[in-house]
Amino acid sequence: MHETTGGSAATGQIACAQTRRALPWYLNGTLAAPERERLAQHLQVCARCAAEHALEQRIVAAVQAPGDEPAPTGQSGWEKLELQLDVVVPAVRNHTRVLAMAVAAQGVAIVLLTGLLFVQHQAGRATFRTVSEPQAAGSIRMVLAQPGPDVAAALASGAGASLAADAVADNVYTLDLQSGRSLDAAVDWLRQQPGVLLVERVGPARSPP
Amino acid sequence: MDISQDDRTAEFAVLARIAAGDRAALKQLYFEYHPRLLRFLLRLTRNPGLAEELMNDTMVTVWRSAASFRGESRVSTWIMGIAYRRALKALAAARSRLPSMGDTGVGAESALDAGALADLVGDDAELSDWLQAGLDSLSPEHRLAIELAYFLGLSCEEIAGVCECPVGTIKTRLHYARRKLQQELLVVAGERGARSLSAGGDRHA
Repeated sequence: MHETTGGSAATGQIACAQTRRALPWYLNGTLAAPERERLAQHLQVCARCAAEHALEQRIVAAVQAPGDEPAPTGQSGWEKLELQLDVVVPAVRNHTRVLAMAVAAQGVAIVLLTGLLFVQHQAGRATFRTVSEPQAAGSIRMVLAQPGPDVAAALASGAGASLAADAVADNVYTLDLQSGRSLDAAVDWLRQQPGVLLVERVGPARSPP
Repeated sequence: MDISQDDRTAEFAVLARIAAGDRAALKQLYFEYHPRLLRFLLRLTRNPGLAEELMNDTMVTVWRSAASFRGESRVSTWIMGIAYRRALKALAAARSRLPSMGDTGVGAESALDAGALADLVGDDAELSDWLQAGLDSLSPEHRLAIELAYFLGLSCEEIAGVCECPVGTIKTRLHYARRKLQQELLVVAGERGARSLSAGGDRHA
């Protein structure tokens, strides 16, 4: 059955199997050159594979033969396609839309964050006061080691001053000297009291030169 | 099917224009692919209207998805892959309408002798009839493997790219499909022989 002219039967059967598997690629011209050469040589010595090659060759020719049905012309197909395109959005435009939406979202985020920063800034300004904040003439600013309005009031009384209603901070107080009392003497006395960290005179804001 | 670097660059350039929404570029691509692709689809469907519909569906997908093409394959392989998936669906739908087209498998390889089979088939017209019956009996995947290799002349690697499956799978599919075709030839030849005998018997009756 297997009509090879050389080599063992087993070798011939392997060559036949390889040939039959490679035939489609041999016939459509895409088989690599070395394999093509080997296959062509095998076809010359193997009647069975040569018969299969001949049959397969006719099949390829039949597959490639033009059909009976007339193919639609390209122009009519294109015209129909153009109508379809009018309702189709290319992906790139979708991408552009997505990109535009992303940019808009970023813009909104930037505005929101800027607003948040502004609010925080304003809030900071509303609560933050400096120890050297200007005050009426003849006032004293006193910083205690610990918050203590009662202690501050007692110290103010001892210095001949009264405690201003609003403290600058939890432990920073403003004292308004009573009339006829010495500012320097009050300051010196306060600086000697335990628990007092800082005592300084404060006055109205000075205009820049 | 070798392609030069210049051709490849030109293909990418056309696709980039399509991705940017350039209809003239799509038109250029359409007319470039139309003759071969439409004939391919026409062979599969044997319905000019359906073939054109599949062709246009393919091109609409190209138009819509050109921007997503990553250049990992040739443009033609990508486009043929789109057409392949549409053709596969169409063939599967046609098969589901014909329950008798079930895959009966292939018999032992040794049972077929190509020389004897070739003798059974007469002229090319007879072969063409048998071939059509044989192709119709194949599963969509096997049918397409034959068409891509024999009609479009694609290499095994190119078909694997189009079908998005390993090269070994394509080799096996094609081998199986060819065996199945040869078995179909035996069946058709046997039926004809029986009819011929029957007609002869009628004449002599």
